[in-house]
Order: sequence, then structure tokens, then C-alpha cells
Amino acid sequence: MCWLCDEYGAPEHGNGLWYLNPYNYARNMYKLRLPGEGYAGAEAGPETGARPERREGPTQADLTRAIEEGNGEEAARILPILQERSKRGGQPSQVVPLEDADRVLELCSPIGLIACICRKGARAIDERNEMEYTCMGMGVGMLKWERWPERYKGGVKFVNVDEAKEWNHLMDKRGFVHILMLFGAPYIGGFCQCDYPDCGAIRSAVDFGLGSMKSHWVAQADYDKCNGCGICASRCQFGALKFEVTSQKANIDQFKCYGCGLCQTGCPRGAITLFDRTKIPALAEVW
Amino acid sequence: MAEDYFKELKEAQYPLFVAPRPYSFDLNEDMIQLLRDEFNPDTVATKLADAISGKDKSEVEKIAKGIFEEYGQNWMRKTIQLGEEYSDRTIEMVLESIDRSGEQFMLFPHVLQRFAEIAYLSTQEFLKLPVTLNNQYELAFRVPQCLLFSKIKDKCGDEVANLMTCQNACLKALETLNRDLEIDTLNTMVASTNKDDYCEFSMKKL
Repeated sequence: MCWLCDEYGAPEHGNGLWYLNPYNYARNMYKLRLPGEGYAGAEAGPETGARPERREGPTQADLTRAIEEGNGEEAARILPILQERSKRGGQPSQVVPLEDADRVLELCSPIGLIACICRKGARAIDERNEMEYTCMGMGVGMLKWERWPERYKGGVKFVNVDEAKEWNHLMDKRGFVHILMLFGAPYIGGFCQCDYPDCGAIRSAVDFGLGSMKSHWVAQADYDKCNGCGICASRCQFGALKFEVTSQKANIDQFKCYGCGLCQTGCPRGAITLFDRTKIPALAEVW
Repeated sequence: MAEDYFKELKEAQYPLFVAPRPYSFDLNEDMIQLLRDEFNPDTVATKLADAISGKDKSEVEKIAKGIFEEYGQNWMRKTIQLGEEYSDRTIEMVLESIDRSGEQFMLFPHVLQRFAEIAYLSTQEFLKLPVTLNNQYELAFRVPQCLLFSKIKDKCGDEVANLMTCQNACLKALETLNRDLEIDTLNTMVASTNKDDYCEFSMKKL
């Protein structure tokens, strides 16, 4: 189990998986404010909500700056500090495969489709309506999206559970990774649909080993079924899967695999299976 | 003087956005105060103390049940009335979505949750209601350090308070919520202050 399951999982819900614990999706709609009290944390917007508690020491922005300035020595000093911090408490997100995503959507309300801020920042893509939205918000915070910073605003389309599942399957088909975002652990308030390099969570994970946690699953290919079509390799956002030229089969690096399951859902031959990461000794602590 | 090329545009009605009124995401403070004045736990505890004074122990439960059920029903009826009268942007978002889509999926739990939050925030001392579940199947919340329980303890003593007859107020209030909003739920009290230090109520959609 990952540290989130240790702290926020419940054995009676989803075998202890923290994101299948319905209590982690519940929150009050209102708060009485003391005189002069404003909005803070998740109330003030997605950025302040998703940000882990402030800590002493260097930040990811310091790392990026060091890299941009070509200061390799400084980058090499900062990166291990961030990676160590990221192992516990610093990761406000976790990858989940489609099957678990369907179960997650049963546990939260309301569910709203919204514009993706990462794609807006990385690609200048302004998603303006429900046909274009590629992000999903969940929980009562979605009822107050209008008070988020202007750059987030692109509207919201509230959907029921069946519609949300259908949309999520469509996103999966398009090749997006499903990532649950925490807004003040253990409260789960967002379900991002990510790809590399647009998405901040995947970019940090792949480039620096920071950010999003791996899922509880890991992919494994069945060579007897694999026909070497290469579809799975084109769907992997984490660089964990490649087409092995010699054997003409898919090759999965399980230490790099985030267990998103995109290779599995894309495989026309059903040659890829997801296994419980914690049952494989070498991978049990690889998050 | 140069021609104002934007004159027509300036004079035209701006069609894109009309700020809804009231444009606050928080509960109306006047509404909270009105409910607080009318349904103060101190008042009902005093009423109970007067009613059971000199009465036999066997009668206490029956008298208390009657008082609390009446209190619970009136409390929730007034909450619904004022809650509908004093709107806010948070609930407007739910209602607009229902209007637009014609789908009722947001009615439960969010409309019920709002009334429950109004009712408890206006009669308890905490600033937010600890909601433990709110999904399409169930709404559940806790009432920590219940003010009504402590007032009963002060006015009527530990023995009467530990009978937990005050649960009738909460359960009746939730029943009133179901009946008035025509949403069928199974309401239960899953934890009680005398045993668990907090009360917890669950409303499961039928």
C-alpha cells in the first residue's frame, strides 16, 4: 500500500485503497466566516488548494530556474532534496487505471467537466465548451468555480455518473492518463486527464521523478498474445513501454510503469494485464 | 471632436454576462441570525426543564419526545422557508444546472445538504458542518459537541441528557426535509453523543 492508503484508506472500502474510500470525497458546502475572514486554501482556487503545505528549502521553481540558467551544480543539489520530499507528503496526485476510475466516479458528487489549465498554459489551448473540456472536477468545490482566478474560467458542465463514465472512457480512448488530484489530503477534488508534456503532473513525474504517484497497478505483457502491432507503445505517456525490434513484441519497463492502463485498454489482442504492484516484491515500494 | 466609433457599442446592452443577485457563495448572515434567534437550543432546553419538573422518570421520555419532535419539525420548516428565500450563488449553481439539463441528479445530495448545513450552522457553535459522505447514494454528517445536548445537561442534568431524547429533534427535522422536498431517504442516527462524543446522521437515498 502507498502512504495515502496507510493514512486515508479504510479496509471496508475498496480493499483499503484510499481513493475508493467515499469519505475522502465528502465536504461541507458552506462555512460561516469570522468577521474579515476571506478565502484560503482550496476555497481560493485550484492552485492554492492543490499546493502541498509550504515547506522550508528549495522548490520546483528553483530547480527549473537552475536548469534554465544552465547551473547543473545547483540543479543536482536541489533535485535529490525535492525527490526525497516528494516520497511522502509532497505528491498531491495519483494515477488510476480506467477500471478504478469508474469506481471513483460512483463515490463523488457533483461531477463537472471543465477546461484544462495545463493545456492552456502549455499549448495556449482555450477549451470553451463541453465538447472541448479535457478536465474533470469533483466535489462541492465545483459549485464555486466562478470564484476561481480568471485564467481558470471556461465554464462547467455538470454531468451525472453515467455521463462522467462515458466521458472518461472517451478520454481513455483518446489516450489521456487519469490522475486524481488532492485538494488538501485526503480530500479528492479533481480528476485530470493528462498527457506528456502538456500536463504539469506527468511532466514533473517523467522529467524529475516528482509529482504524481504511480498507481497501485503495473502492466505486464503476454508475449503469446502480443502480435507486435505497437499500439501500446504509442499510448504510453511515461516512456515505460517500447517496441522491441528483435522480438517484435511490446517491452514494458515495470520500474518506469505508472500503471495507468492505457496500454491495456488500447491493446486489440488483450495481451496486457495489470497486476497489483504491492504483490510484486521488487515493485512494492516503487511509487 | 473626433467621432466616437464605440458609441453604439457603449450604449448597447452588454449581453454576455449579468451578475446574478445575490452574488455571494456563502450563507446569508441575516438568515442564520433569524434561525439562531428562533431556534436557540437554550430556549428548548429550558422548555424541557419546565415541562419535566416534578414528573416521574417514566414520563420524561414521552414529554421530551413530544417537545423535540415539534421543535425539529418547526426548525426544519423554517430553515427550508428561509433557505429558499435567502439564496446564494452556491445553491444557484445547483438549481441552474437542474434547470438547464432538466436532470435531477444534483438534487440529492446537494439541496438536502444545504438545508441540513443551514439548520445546524444556525443552531450550533461550529463554523462548518462536518459532512462525512455526500454522493449519489448517501448524505451523512456529524454533529460534534452538540449545543442542544450540553444545554439539556445544564438545565435537566446528566441523566436526562443521556437519554438522548434530543435525537427526536434531529430525526424529525430530517424527516421534515424528506417530506417537504419529496425526496425519499432512509434516515438513521449512526452515532450518538452520549456514547461517541458526537452524533452522526445518515440519509440514504431510496
